Amino acid sequence: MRPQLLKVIILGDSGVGKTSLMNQFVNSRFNSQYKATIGADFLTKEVTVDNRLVTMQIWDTAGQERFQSLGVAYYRGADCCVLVYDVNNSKSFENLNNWRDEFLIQASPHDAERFPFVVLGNKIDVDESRRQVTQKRVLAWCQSKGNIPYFETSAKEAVNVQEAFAVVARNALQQEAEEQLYVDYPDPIQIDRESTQSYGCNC
Amino acid sequence: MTSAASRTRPSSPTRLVIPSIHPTPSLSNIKDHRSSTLSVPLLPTPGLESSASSVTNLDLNEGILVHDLDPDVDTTRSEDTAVGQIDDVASEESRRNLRDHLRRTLSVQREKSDAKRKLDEWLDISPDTTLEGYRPREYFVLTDAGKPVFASRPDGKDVENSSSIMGVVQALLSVFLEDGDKLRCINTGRLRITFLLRSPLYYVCASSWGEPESVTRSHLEYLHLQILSIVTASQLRRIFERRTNFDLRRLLDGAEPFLFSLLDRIELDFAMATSSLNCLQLDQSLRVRVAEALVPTSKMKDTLYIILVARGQVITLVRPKKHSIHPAGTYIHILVNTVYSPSIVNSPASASWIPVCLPKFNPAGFVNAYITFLRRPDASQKSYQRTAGDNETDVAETISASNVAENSQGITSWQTTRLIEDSGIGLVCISGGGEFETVRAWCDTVTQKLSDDGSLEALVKAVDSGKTSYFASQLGIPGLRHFVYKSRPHVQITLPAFEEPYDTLDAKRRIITLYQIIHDAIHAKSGQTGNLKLQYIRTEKEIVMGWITQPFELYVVLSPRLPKTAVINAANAVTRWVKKEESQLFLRDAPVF
Repeated sequence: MRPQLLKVIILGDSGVGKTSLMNQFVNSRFNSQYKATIGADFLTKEVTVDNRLVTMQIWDTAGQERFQSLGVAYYRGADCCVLVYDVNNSKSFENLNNWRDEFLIQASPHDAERFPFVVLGNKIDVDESRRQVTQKRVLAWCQSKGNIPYFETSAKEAVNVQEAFAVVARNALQQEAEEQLYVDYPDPIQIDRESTQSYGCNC
Repeated sequence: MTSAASRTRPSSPTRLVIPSIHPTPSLSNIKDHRSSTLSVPLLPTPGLESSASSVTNLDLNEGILVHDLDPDVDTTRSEDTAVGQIDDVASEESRRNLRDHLRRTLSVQREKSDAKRKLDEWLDISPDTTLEGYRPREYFVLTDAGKPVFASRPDGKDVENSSSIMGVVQALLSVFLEDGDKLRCINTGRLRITFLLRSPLYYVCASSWGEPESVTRSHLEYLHLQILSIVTASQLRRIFERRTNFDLRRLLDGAEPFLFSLLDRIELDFAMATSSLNCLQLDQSLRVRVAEALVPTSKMKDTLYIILVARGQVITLVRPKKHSIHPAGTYIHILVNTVYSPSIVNSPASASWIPVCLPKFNPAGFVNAYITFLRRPDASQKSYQRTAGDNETDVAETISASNVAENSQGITSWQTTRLIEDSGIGLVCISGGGEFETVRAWCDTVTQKLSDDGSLEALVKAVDSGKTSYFASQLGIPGLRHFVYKSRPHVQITLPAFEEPYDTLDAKRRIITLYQIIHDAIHAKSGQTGNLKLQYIRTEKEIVMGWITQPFELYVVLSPRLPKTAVINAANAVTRWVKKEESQLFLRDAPVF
């Protein structure tokens, strides 16, 4: 059987490092030049999770406000949502609420309460003195939203990136596995030969 | 190449009279098609014989060809692509821009995609075509979340690329969907990518064969029907209502062979293209005798159809009075495809039960198909292979040999299917309810009865001796190479086995594609402005003509050097021959119960 495809959406304010995180994860590359993503882009990567091969299709979205309504099509059928903020920018952290809500509204997952999110606090390579969001504050928020896993990352120095995406993949898979396969075998059809209803023309 | 399209009055149903039409209307008719809204090779137009490009019309009074210079000869090859950049789609404005861009590139392509150019590219004229041959069409099925459901590419090959393609397709389609629009196809160079949206599933076909858009679209419809036959429409809807990220491959696990065999089948099966049946040619009295044995007993209350098949063709079909077979024409193809899927036909079990959903019959539930082979494929396969090698003078054995040669050209999935199609005789009983034991016991009884009264023996003999197929050359019509005749009241077609020069796979594909182009034009399936009664195409290699009347449709392929009068005579001669042989060629008056 072919590897299962996991659709992952990365959301967060403009400039927090969404594209860099994706590139670091998929291509192990970092480019310090900032180039705003326009619209959305995706990369795929095959990973092994608990001995299962899965293909991650990672959708990188634009953080600018003018792109914030990407529409249901991009979010539809997501298996996991990665929320990214910049630990040196408290506004980007505060906006996580909006990003989460936006996602839940657009994607309208079946079980919103238990939909897997992962929060990444990026740019920890920057000098500690410039940090604006304490770990305590983030963890409290994550806990209030149903124990969202949290990672502090550096896309630039490849800190925690692989680890974070491994959890993304695992949680997405786990949620899938928990879901019951509703293969309700329908009742047998009664073929009523005498009925006057005719299925189709008699030409 | 010359081409003529004209309308005849339907008043001459059984004889083809050269239509008495002034050249101008039919010429404008051609141009109508060219300027129609779809970029499809609707009408093959002149130019294949370079300087001799002309539009030719039939003129009854003179009986000569009238040549008009075609001013629209366009030999430029468009490199336009309609690949959108998905980055540009976020804001309203950029979405609009992208859409406009797509529109623009699509319409540029539309203008340039002169039918002649398409046909030019498609026929074996240009060197690159010959090089490329008929690259296998590629099919993709994905969910509206962009998750892969099925890809026709060989397993394991390019998995990452496939999932990227599906992601792009999903993004592209959603740009249009958000504007309440549906993307139908993208034409880029020789390649056409056709989309069929059957939410929650999207179907995609990429083909560079030059067939009309309606053809690949119908392939996608068949794929959809086959998938629905496995999971049912209502189950599909329920699952995706609950979970938009559902991986449908979980439900289709093990069912991929059905899809692969369908795609193999659909490539050359003109019966599927015309939504009709192609029954096995058989002596009428034998067919009747067999059919009578298949009428179910009163105990079998929930029986829907009983079908006997050989070589992938229907021998007879017994049905309840209330359920006509005609709308089920497509079902029969889905069922026959299911029966001949390697997983069924190769099954060591003596019989198989498969739940099948026939969406138009009942989209919410399954009927049960009980499938048993009256003649075991493995035994017959041996004899088949032996005869194919031993003696090549016999007609039937020549068919076998040519099939083997064709198979060895490398379409692996066909090999098994084809070999067995040539030998097995399958009994299929479609029923609702759970009367498994009753059906099984009845099928055993029927098998015994057919065996005891010699019918089975006679069937096997007919299949083995090649009496269930014929060649165009047997008709003795000068210049006739191949034809397809569709009896419209019977909704059935008959066609001879392919023979030289159409005995190679690529040559068959050529002819089938030509038939499809004419069929498409005659029925105005791709948005043409009107139906045609008659269409005539001449290429360097052959003349192909399609002709539709009230009682039949006829497609003939003839030697390219024949004069028009001979073409007309040949067409008339074919219809006379079919009329004469009708009782053998078509399934008529099958019993109802």
